[in-house]
Amino acid sequence: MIYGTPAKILRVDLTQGTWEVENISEEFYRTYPGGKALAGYILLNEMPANVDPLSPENVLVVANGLLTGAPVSTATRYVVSAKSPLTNAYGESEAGGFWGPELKMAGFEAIVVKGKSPEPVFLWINDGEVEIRPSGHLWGQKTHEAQESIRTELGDDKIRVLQIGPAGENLVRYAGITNDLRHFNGRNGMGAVMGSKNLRAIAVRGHTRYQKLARDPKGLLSLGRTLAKRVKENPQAWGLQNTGTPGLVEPLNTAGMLPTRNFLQGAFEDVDEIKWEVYESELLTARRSCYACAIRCKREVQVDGEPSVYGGPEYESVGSLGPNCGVGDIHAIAKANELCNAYMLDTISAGMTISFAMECFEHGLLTLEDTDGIELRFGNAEAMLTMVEWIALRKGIGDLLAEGTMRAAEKIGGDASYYAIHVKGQELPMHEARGKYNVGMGYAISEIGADHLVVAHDSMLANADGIPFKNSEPLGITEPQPVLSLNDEKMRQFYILEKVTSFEKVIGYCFFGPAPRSYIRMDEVIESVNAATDWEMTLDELLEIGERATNMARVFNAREGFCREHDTLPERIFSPLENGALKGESFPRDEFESALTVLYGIKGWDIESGTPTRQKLEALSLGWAADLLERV
Amino acid sequence: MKIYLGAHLNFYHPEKKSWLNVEIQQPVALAEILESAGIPLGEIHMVVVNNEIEEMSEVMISPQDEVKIFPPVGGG
Repeated sequence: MIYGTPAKILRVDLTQGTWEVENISEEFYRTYPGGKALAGYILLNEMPANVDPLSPENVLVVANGLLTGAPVSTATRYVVSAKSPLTNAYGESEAGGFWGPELKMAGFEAIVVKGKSPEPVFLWINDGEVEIRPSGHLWGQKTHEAQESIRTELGDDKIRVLQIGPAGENLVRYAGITNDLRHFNGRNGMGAVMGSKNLRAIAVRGHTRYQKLARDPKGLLSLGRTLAKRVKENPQAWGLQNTGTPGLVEPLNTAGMLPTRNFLQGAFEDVDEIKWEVYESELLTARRSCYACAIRCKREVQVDGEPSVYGGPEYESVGSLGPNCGVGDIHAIAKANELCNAYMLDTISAGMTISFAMECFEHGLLTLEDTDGIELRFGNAEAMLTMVEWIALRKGIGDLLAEGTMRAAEKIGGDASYYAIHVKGQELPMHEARGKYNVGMGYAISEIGADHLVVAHDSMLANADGIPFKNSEPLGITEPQPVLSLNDEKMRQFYILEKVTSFEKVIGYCFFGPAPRSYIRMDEVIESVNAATDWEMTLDELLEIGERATNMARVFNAREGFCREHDTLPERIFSPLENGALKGESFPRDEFESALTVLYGIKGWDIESGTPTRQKLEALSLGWAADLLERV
Repeated sequence: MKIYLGAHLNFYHPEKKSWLNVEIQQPVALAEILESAGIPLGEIHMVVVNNEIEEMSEVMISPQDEVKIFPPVGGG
């Protein structure tokens, strides 16, 4: 027995309408223990370079982490991975909730989907049994309707449903995936990949609890109880429970780092209409959790005065659909979030594409003729809501905007590319790089395009007396660094912190679990791995697992033609902010280029191309990936 | 006067409230007030006095000042 995993991968060929089960070995699994690592290995080895991401040749991997489903707070995550139709690069998006743990309880560590079904289908996985069922009757339904239909059809209201919505069916390049209507693999257009395969949903039911898979179930439960209790004793974790992510709105605005009007500004004049206290009084109905998580950072809300069947907006959604579009109406933001969830759009890219279109309209690059008479200006909440639906349905100008900012800008022409705020084609999330430089470096270097979850954010490690900093000392981070710096020590810390975030994506922890962002100490992370397995894993091995996963994704991108020139930031980020506490601040271009060279060197990547060297890959047991690169 | 405890800093308020009532008659060092209220200075990333960001070590506050403090936040 391999502890901690069912050690089975479900392989589905939708073209043939067949499936089979693959058993994996312990040696393999210890090297690639789930999530990002397992997905990266499969994508690199089973998909040739340069396939069309929306063709049957793309491979979709859904992979749990080693600890997904363990009775430990925040160990709930699974990854969905494929070549991204938004970036044409390595694609990846993680989500929590209950679906990943349910898949593990149903006997599978991962699912690999190839080909394309001739007709719409959904997968039904029930304790190791698998069916490919027709889903034509679900096609076009909003996500809450489809979830209800699937549960009714299968006669079990406890079935966990992962699905796309109409946006994925319509191949919107930033269509996402939801489970339980309130947890999202939002980014990178993974929903469009499912849609391109005519796969609407994956429904799962399982009954083998994680404790049956663990080497030391009592130890794991004991650690889980300790961590659950400690949520109320730790300010970071308690804060996530108290406000959830919407609590970030006001502090980031005060700091001049609330992206406003398509990143022109860093402070929003109507912040008092959308801050947490307003969210709490106007929208909040309850707090909910993911599987076995004591933090409970998820929000339940009312929309239009009625309890919503969808989860409430996170900070990212409040930001992207609110101040980023100049909209200061919390009810309109909640409605837009609900529409995104019903059609299953990534709220970040949706908001950013709408704000891009608004800025193009303000500058005359789009006209009333283009918008069918809609005044698509910053602050027009009605227009923003209409655009969400039109994008999902590819109606009117929504068809253009469904392509994302990079492609839409190319078609619009003129200065439109300047207003397209993306990296590698993926729109920036709601964090202001001009106020936290390591976040900017993360945007630039991330293999999936702009992503805010590459490293812990700069302010966490700026104060030697702070809890996040003290919790980072076991990682070898012993000198606090200023937020507005890209010095060599900060690049060394970036290298370490990226490995931490990466192994979280491999073994199934949420960014809101382990230090430095949150409260689970590194020794407790290791304790959880070693209670689940008999591996006697060390922190060094865990960090190496994280680095291995990042390097596989980097090799994937090198094979697709990505290189150093793609590791950059939008021109606007190199330009001064218009208002707020950081008025006049721009991201330092020269310092950035120097820091990138330093970081490549630390990471063992070629300084000219940004590609991992053979020496580095072999040190990470990835000699086979170096061979792949040489064959390109 | 009242001090606004932003984001999760209300964790340190005895009743988990976002406003800390403070009795002062004359200018006092903010750090001194916060330490006596049990709010660890190491957890504070940003101090805002009358809408201006200030350095904690330099801040003296008067009864009429509007003061907000925030911890480091980010991610998510």
